[in-house]
Amino acid sequence: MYRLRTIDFVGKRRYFLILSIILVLISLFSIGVRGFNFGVDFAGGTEITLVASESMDVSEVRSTLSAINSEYETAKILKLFPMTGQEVVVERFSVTIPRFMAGDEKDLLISQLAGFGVDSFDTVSGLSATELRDRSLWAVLVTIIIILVYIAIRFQIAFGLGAILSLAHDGIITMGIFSLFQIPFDISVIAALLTLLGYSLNDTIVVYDRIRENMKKFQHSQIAKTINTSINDVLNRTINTSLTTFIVVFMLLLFGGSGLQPFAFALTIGVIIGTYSSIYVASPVLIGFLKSRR
Amino acid sequence: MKADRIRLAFVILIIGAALLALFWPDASKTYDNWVEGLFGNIRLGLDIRGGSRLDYSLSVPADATKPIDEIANEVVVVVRQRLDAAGYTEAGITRVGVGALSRIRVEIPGVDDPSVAERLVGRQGTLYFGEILETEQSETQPRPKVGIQYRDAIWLRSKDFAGPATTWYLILPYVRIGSQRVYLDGSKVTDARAEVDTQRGGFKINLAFDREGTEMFARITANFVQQQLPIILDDLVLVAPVVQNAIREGRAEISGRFTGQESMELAALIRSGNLPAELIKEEERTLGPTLGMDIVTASLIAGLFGLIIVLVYMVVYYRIMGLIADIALVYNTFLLLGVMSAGQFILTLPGIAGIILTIGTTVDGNIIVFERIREEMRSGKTTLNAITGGYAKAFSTILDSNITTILAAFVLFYMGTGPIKGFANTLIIGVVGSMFVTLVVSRLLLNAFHHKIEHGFYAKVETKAGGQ
Repeated sequence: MYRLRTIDFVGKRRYFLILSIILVLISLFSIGVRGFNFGVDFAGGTEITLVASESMDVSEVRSTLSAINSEYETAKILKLFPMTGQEVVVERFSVTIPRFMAGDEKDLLISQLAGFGVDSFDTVSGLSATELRDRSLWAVLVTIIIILVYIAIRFQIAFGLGAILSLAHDGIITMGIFSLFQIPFDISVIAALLTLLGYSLNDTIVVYDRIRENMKKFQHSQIAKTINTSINDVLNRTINTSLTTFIVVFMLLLFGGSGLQPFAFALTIGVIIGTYSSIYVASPVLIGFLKSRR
Repeated sequence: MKADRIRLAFVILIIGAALLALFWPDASKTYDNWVEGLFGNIRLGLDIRGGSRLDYSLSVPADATKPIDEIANEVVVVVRQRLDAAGYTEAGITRVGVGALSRIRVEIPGVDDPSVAERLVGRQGTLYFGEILETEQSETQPRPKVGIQYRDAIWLRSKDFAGPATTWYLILPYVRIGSQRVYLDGSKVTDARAEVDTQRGGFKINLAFDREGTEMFARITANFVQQQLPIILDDLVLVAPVVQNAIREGRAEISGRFTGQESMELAALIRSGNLPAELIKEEERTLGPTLGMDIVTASLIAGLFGLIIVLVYMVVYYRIMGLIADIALVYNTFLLLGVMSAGQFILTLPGIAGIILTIGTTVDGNIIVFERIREEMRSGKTTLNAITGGYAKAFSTILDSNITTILAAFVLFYMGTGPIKGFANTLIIGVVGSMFVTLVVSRLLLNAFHHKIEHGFYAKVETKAGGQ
């Protein structure tokens, strides 16, 4: 028989649980106190229609804007075309800055945009963040119930609770990071959050599946050992899967450009936290749940 | 093995269909760059491809009691519902300007046909059941009738006014029952759905009323047996059926032999209710990608780069098995893109996030199987037995981990809005695909190339794990 060296993951679980609790508390505090830096998708802002006399593309407009104020780099910039048939005489761009401007500030910006003509200057609304939040809350609740029921049927209810707990852990910490560092929070971040929750759930279930299998081999009193062995059994898979997913999202973060950065950042953080939580949160909390059931 | 031969035929058939859907050239389109040219059959969202922008100003009725800002917000909600109901979930609706200068902006992906969206946005959506006083065939609107009973009546055309002479109806905007006036309108409709009309051909619209509406409709139909009861939408008589008997179930059917598109649009209009103000189109423009082409190109290159590293990593780590995983991964990616083009789903940035997650689950499924096969080999099984045993053990893992993801994705699909739906779409297709490739495609390849799999290499215990 071969033997692998076993790493003691669950022995140190107290420290990691404390670490996780601290991270969750900091995140909740930051979300409550600082809130989010909502991007133009949600918050709305000021829309300026610029007219360029010469041929230009979006990236040139973006660099002009960020030269005026680095805050403007995240502006939403669109090229506008006339509807049909008409020849393009001047190039128009719609630039939306995630700030509401008026008076002096507006005049200053117009004067700074000397190379362009300014066609219109308007405030635009964002997507309603509260509406999205309300709908998302319902979706999250229903998802939690369905996943709990499925896992309770296929595993035990304790596994379901563990999975939900680790999902909440991942979601809260990732959102906390967005709040703490005031990284622009836009629609794409929502997609990234959902992605990481799917990823983390997947990761957790794989470990749980092995625990379920090993529980048949070990005695119930050895629950901690069973769980530790299971984590070690699937460790190769955990490392390889995390690494490959990490590569894809990290490349997106490195080379995806500034517009995609919040999205790629959420994914990158998410892969790390999702992997951590399936080893140090989802599995160790099972020990408590399974023991307390006896 | 005969089973494998059938599987092989199946696998080839599926990918063939997917590739056909993806790459079948559509001569009617022109493309601005290589990205669009290559994936021309995939409908790209506003953020990646751009689309049309329609700006509307509001004409608020003079007797409106609410402030214009509130009305504008209501308009946004109604327009959103209409476009959602008609399948334009990726459209963006925003308010521009404040107060009396408020405008409603609608952005629709693609520039193929903004006219459909225009029909949906601009219409009032006022539905009611009326009473026909007179009917006339005419090319122009007949003269108004004089008389006390005609005081509220107006001449309205039938919706099919294609021919030179059409039917004009003199309509009362309410139904008289005895001395009572009954107003049955769209506000009492709880649901409207387009359905195939099996009796008359074409499509029909099924209406469901709320409690009050059900009661009204029962009373009206009881009093109008063997008489026409017209249904009017936006000053056009949609249909004027003869009532056969009293209907008490609170359901009505508008069977005007509509086309599928027409019935879907009408159902969407009726379901989302009236617009609280009239919309006047001010401006119409074509948009570049809202993310910016610079960002789209950069992210595609970054994504491809990441994918290539993953492919190489798998071959380095798992050798021949890694190559099989790579084939499975590429297979699933094209399968996903093929289904997206065939199903006319719109690909947006959140959709790309779904694809990334799909890449993850596909690689993961293969890794789970490979690690199980290695465990089986270490316990002394031959390669072929190890493959069978590994799959038997990995099956529950793959099933449970993917089913939980699919369940979550379904909730998002039904409860989410716009871009979230797009994400759920790609995720469901991708995860189902990843189960298929892991359980069928990879297995087929593993069985076929089992003699190429070096037993000694895979059975070896990892040095980093410190074997004894």
